[in-house]
Amino acid sequence: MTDPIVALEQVSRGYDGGRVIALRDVTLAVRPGEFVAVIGPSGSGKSTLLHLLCGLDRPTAGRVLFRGTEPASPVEWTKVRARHVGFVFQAFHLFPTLTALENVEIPMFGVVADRGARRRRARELLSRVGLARRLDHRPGELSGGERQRVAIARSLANSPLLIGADEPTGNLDSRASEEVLDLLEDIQRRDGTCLILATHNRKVASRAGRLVELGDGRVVSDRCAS
Amino acid sequence: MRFLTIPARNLSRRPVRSILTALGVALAVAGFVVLTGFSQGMERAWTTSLIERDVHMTAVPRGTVEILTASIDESVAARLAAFDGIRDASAELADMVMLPSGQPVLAVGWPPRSFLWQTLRLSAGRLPAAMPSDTAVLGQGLAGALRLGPGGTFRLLGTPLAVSAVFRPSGVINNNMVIVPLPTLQRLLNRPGKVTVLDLRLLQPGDPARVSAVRARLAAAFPDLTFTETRSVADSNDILRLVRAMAWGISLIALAMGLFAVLNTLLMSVTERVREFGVLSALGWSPGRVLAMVVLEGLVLSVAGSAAGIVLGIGGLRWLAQAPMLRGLVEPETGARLLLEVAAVTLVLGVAGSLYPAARAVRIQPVDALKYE
Repeated sequence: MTDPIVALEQVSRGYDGGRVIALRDVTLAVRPGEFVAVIGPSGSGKSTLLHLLCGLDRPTAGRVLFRGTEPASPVEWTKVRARHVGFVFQAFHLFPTLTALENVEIPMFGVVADRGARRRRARELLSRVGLARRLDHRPGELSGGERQRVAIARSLANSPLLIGADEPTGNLDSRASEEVLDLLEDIQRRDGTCLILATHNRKVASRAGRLVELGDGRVVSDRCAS
Repeated sequence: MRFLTIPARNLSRRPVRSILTALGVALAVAGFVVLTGFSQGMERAWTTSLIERDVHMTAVPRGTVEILTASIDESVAARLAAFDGIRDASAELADMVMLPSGQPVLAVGWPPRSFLWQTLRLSAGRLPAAMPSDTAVLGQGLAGALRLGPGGTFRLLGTPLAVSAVFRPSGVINNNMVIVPLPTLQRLLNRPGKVTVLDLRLLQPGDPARVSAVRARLAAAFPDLTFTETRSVADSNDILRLVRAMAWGISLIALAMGLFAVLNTLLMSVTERVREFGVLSALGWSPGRVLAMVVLEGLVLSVAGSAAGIVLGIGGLRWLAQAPMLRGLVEPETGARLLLEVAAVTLVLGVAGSLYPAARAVRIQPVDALKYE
């Protein structure tokens, strides 16, 4: 069995000085190429778990290991995110003053030094998500589905090992949702990129190969999808 | 996309706010340009007026603050002329007087046989061997303003004088000067036998060591006088120092206001964009890159403001130099030194005004962005 990309060891995450516990004593490993759906009701800790797995948050107890080692500082985690992690938000979080092409270039600053190379890569990724004709459009000129596709292209900018997606279809209609999920699944299958998707929607989760179910901050079940 | 595109686009998001901030910076920089340009111009005007008269050193009574009110016995000039290392010495009486037209001019009196007469570059008329008491020589600017040439007459302190010549100076002070024989001005100002300054020409003005030695010996021999090399006149003149200090003091207040304008705008902008900074961090932007982006926003604001401020300031300075009360006393100084100072000020405004907002932006964690979902 291959080594995990990211692993949580007895991780807890509390807020407000420990009065609110979002995640309790979770141990979990995610391996390369896996498509993991994190499911559970609202407030069960899905987003917190996803943020910890993608290095966006720090645990209050336990360890988060990325490729076998625990990044020593927030700056180390920043480097991990820059080079190895892509993230897709429910609300897209594109920069409104930048075009689709420029939005995709954003994560490449600091990783790809050559301006022309950044532009070529962004163009290639937007073509891949079906937006070759929308390169110079700003987010306000795109539909919800198109915006999420730009966000997916952005998450792929630095060829990550892992993509985290937090309710990526939460703001989309059913048709756009299907398109976005097809795209994410295609990326996971063709590139071998590990995909971790947090959702409360069981139909969306049914596409994953592995289901991690949370309840009240604990892992209730962790199984292969049938 | 260049990195600079990002802060520029961020500022374009709220164009009115950005323009108003840049305008605040522009006014601060314009104030700086006007005030420091004014004081530097004054210094240059005084220094130039002495240099073009081939004066190497001046002497005024010790403790003098305002040179025009100084009082020295004119006989001291003869003693100085005989001093070792001195080639020539000339007494000079100067005062600001108002012409009947209301124009303020610098009236200067030179002894009829002073070397100073020979330093004038005449553009019209001629100088007699000894200037008659009822004649005057005018700077070209003043002659033009009064529409006078050789043979014309005008009144100075109620006394009619004939213009014998017009001279073409390079400095603005000399350009608006009226020069009369010393006894004439002493009589008109009711200061018989008195002068305000003594102008010296040295035997070896190009040798700094000898100049210093002569100055030291002069200081010892004439303890009641202060001797100043022409090039240091601006630095040692208390009035000019006061003007310079006031210019810098007021400029600093204006610049502090500009700095707070930048600070306030960027702080508001950072507060509004918490989510975006979190997203940038989530996408792997380092704290240094986030800091650079906010500092660049500050620099874009301050550079744009400074560019407009320089234009406004130079316009203001030229207007000020042409104002009736100041015409002939200042020449707008907008040289490399002033532009370098503006560049330094711009850098300070942009960086200092953006560092605190940038530090706040850097502290925003990715998870902070996601709270807004």
